[in-house]
Amino acid sequence: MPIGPIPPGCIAICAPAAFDAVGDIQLTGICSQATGGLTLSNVAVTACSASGFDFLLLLENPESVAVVIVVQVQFTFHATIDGFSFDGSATCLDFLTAVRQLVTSPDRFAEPLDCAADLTCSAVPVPFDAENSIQSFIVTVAGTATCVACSGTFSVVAACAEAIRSSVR
Amino acid sequence: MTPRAECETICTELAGSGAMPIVPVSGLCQFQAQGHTISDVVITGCAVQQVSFQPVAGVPRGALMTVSYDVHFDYTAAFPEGASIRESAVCSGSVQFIQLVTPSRSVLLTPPQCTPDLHCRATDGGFDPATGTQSFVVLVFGSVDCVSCSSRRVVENVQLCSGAPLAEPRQDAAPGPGWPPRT
Repeated sequence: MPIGPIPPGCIAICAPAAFDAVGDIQLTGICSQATGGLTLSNVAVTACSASGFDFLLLLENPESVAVVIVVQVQFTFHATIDGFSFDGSATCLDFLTAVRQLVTSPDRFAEPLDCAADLTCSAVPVPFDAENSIQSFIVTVAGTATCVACSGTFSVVAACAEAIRSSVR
Repeated sequence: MTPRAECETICTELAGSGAMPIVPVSGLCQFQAQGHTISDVVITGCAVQQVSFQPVAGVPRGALMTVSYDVHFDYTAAFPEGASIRESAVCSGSVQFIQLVTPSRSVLLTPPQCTPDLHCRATDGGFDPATGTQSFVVLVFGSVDCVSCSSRRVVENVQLCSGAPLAEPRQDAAPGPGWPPRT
């Protein structure tokens, strides 16, 4: 269909429509903390957070993103070493990685990636590994990941001077 | 430099390989009990089953690794009616993580050509009677050997014989003393 006359101050451009591609994240992994010879008991989780993320594009899998999630598990414990014992608190920090397909071809992600995640986390201690002096936690992360995606099809849109000015970031 | 008649002087990146230790990573394995509780777990082995590599945009030396593993264990199954028996079972699981797999100033070949030498060690993660799940913490460790291209461009005399490079395309990528590249 012909575009017809373009109003003064406007241009017609071919543009893929941008949209938010949203996917669920449900992931269970391990947070491990070396205790440096301390033997831990009475381990109790006081908080779990999954607030740091990085998103990476997979070169051979352009429909998916890899999400690297920083998990922090705060916990209290009773520790013994060489006959001494004390109560304390500490934080286990680890990385969990999930791969999620968020778009289907011919749609693709905007580059550089423009993504966000909204995640909650819970953690359960596992029995203390005395042989290797490691306290681990089973961490469950749940929520959504959202990335800006570009439609694989193009639309013709009229971009007028004021609209161009206001939409330039 | 005057190349011999059968040689061509080209600018190229040298291919190389070499074992890179990975930072040990902990994964989870969960085994679902069928109508009984699990106790007295004895781990009899841990075996890495499969390793895959995916190149990651923006991380030329890195790869997304997916490692699947089997945990072999014996346990006592106690049934609600009071009977208990000793059983053997296998728990299968996997973990994904991003690692640097090639030396500095190099780029992972695409698609990756990697030889993993990975092992695992499992520890008892406890039985949760509420969900009937026996967990294991699986430590994955070892090294990987991936073909990479140097990011430094060097001038080399390369013998371009008709047929030979096509007939043996892997020859340039073979592991050997060519790493690190000569300067």
